[in-house]
Amino acid sequence: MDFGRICLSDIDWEDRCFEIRSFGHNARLHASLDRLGIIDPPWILRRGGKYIVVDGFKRLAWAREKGDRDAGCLLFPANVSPSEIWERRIERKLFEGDLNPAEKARTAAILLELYNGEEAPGAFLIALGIPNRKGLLEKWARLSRRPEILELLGSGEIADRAAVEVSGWEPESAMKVLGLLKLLRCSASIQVEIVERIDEISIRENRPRLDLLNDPKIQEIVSDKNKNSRVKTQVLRDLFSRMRFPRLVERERKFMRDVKSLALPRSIRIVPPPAFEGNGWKMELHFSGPAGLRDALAEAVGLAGKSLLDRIFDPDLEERS
Amino acid sequence: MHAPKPSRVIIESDVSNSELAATLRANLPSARFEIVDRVQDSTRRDPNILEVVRFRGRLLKSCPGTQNYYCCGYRILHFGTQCTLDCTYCILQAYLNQPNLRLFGNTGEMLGELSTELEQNPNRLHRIGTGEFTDSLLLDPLTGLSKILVPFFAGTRNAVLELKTKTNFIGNLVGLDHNGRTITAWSLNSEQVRRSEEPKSATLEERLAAARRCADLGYYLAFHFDPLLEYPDWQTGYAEILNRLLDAVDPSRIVWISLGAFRFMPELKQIIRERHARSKIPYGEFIRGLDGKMRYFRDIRVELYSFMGEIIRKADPSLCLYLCMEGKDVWTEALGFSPDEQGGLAAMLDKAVEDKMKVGPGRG
Repeated sequence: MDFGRICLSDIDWEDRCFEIRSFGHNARLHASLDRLGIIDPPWILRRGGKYIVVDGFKRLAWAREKGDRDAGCLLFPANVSPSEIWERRIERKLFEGDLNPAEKARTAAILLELYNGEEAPGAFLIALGIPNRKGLLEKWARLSRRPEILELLGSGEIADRAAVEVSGWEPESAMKVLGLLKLLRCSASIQVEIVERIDEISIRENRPRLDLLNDPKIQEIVSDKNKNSRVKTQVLRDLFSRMRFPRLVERERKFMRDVKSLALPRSIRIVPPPAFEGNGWKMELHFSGPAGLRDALAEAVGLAGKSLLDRIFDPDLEERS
Repeated sequence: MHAPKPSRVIIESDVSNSELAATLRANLPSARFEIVDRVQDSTRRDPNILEVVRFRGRLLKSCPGTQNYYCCGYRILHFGTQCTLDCTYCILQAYLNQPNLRLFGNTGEMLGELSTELEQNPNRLHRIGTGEFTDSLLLDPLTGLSKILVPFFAGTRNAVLELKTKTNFIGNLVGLDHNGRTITAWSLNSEQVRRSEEPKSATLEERLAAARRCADLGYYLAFHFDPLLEYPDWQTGYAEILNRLLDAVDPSRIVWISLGAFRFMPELKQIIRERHARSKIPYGEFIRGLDGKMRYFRDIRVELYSFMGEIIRKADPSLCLYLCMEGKDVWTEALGFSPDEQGGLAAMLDKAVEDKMKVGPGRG
């Protein structure tokens, strides 16, 4: 690339095809430009009788706003291919440091286009922080076409992973769930869990996502003025679990009921295997010394005579008896 | 249904003069044959490609069971991988670096390994099948492999072959001297599941007709309801196919029926979502099983098995019915006993072979 001074009036400001928009604030950049001017020359490409900006949109806009007539730029040779420009553009962007979600999304979209169905080089994905998992780059790319989600992401209240998951949803339900997540102020992993639950329940029940999100039970929790965001999050997670895993949750509840009816002493706890899978049941005895252990063991032996004990292990016993 | 007709056959030079390669050339006259040193792994699935390689690993494998669930003790004769039936639930989709139909051209080595195994273990019964990494009969019209395997097993004293399929490609089985050593087996499901999850496979009518024909030819039969899926009104669908099956074939020809609720490696969920966006099967109530695979919550599995078991036992209480990869608690709750009471699942299946087919190491 050759260095030269480009007359700002020769730039086609409308053509922003090489832009990777950050949706971020420019205060720091503007302060730097005000102090020191343009240090790093923008990249320019000559197209037809005009120049178009490849890199440095904000710097050149600042110069134009300030009333400068020209600016020092690096000019791409006329015969360079768009894919070559993009490769350099992405490489440079990645070396500048961590990209924000909007830049990541746009870069993902460009990579997909550049490699046209072939796998994008792993080095790019690593630098972008996108795991090399099938379909993930596509999801990020989809996000680049959703400025309303990117704006929300910019607020920092929505986790990238949750936003990526909803990037393929219909706009209304995507915005509705993101609004919900913003209200709940929960961790990234819980945000993703909520998004996945809603998605899977809607598919499983053949129910539009928006309809599910507008469900009176959900709305009642969301609008409850007596619950703070932490409590709302927990109640909603429980509700979604019941909707997504009704049989498992019912069995857990039955187990709790049966254990309660056994009136176990405080020193004994019965622990079922995770998800009741297999035969790995456990009994915990809590004690503080030999005397306590003797008492706990005696109480455990006493349990053996209780017919109610069988109910815990056999989900149908209550119904059959 | 029609057999696949690959338009391009890529053969490794090591096996380019094999019997399999010659058969394929004869059965695929319009296909383009390419000889290469080594078939490269690929990530692109192309149903028009058939690869023939020399397999360098063990050609007789054990069923990949796990400690926590009862395993049938079945051995797998590994003659190829992949399948073009493209069922939504199929685990073969997760083999991302070998997505195309692949056959092993070293058939002689496979039979050699098999002979050695049978000779070295003359005092046990060998239940051997081919339908683990591919469908047993999908490519049979092209390979004619059954014409080699069925007579081979006919000549053994202590082994039976199970050919497991979702096709009706039984043409090569007609007229073979099977000597009652081959079980032709079909994977069955409800009509609704057949249509939505395995639309490229033979219809249930075709499968049952093929089973009936095989029974007429003297072959023994087996049926595998695997994967059983939980969906709205599944009871009606499964009762219907069970009744159709029991009407279509004489239960006395059936050596066993297996039941297996849908289970999958966690990574398959995303693959199904991407490849079969309309399928709802990943959204069941799955939990992580003791083997790390996702499986329906146990109460759902018990319900599926109890329902199926009741109908099957009503039709023929003596029929050997088993659960694929389940633990003692589920067996006992669903079927009222556990394999331990019968010496283990493998022994239970050996006994079914001995009782029904009169084949076993102690017999002539």
